[in-house]
Amino acid sequence: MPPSPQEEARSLRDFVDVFKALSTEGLECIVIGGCAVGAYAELRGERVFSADLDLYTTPQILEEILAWVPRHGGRVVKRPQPRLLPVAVIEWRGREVNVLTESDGLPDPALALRTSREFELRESGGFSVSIADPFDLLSNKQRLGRDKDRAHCALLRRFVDEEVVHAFRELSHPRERLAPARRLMEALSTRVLPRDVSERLLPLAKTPADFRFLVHHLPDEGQIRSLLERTVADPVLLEELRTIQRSRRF
Amino acid sequence: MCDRSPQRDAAELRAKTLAEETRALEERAANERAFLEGRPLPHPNPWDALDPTKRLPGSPPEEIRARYEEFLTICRPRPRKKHVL
Repeated sequence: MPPSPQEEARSLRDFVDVFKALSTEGLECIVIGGCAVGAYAELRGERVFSADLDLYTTPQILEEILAWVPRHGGRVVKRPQPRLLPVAVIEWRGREVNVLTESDGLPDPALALRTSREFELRESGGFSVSIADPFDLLSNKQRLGRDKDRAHCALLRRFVDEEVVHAFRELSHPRERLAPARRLMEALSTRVLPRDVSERLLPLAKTPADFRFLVHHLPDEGQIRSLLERTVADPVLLEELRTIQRSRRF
Repeated sequence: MCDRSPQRDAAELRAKTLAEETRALEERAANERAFLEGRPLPHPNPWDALDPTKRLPGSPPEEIRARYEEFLTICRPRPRKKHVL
């Protein structure tokens, strides 16, 4: 039975008591799924709601959560089963909380915890919640490929695309300038930049590393030609870029 | 520096030859003798010269812990990005 409108309309703030309880016990988890997408949506002034809370953690921490929940106001509805999706389902004061230890497209939980982002909830006295990295979420949603994931992918793309463009426009260290664009391609499982992103990056390229990166990853020859026209004053760089161009296959 | 070809990785992962192992053990023994006698090591680890936090073998736990704290100020873990809702 599909969830009712009331059940669908939950956001991060509806689960603050869960986060605080887990945090007090030192049970580190990150938020994935609809509530995580909702957090990034809110930063863009958009709204995404979810029927439940999805958490991601290590198998060791999950075992501790499953032992702790029944003694602290919750109920374990389902434990992870061998050879099936590694998810536990908890009922916490009328709300469903799913705890996963694996999900397609997400890194290992220990790494996901370290690369997660901290969201401070002003209305909750500045309490911070760990949300999965948006590039990891995009990769996850792409691989899950369900109908609702497509809408989430579109929203996450809008968020991460801005991070990619911001890095090219504002940051100075080459690794910081290029890393978001690389992560976007990894999340989309592609070796070329999406056209709408590459169009925005072209006029922002300024370092030799930018030019080399773009010639490696622009989606078509027309954009590469347009980029090379900007390097005619540097014949050494231009020759290097032409060598990369000759190696490209479209 | 960034040549991580499978051929190179396979070469690095092979076991040492008998000659290489013998040489390594002799150098280690020579270093241990020199350390006990208070002499400079005849076969120092070249990376030790680059690490200002390095402590001598056998240092007490407090020294080892202090070493890691100094190291973390040089090689800081990347901070997590923060947002406010």
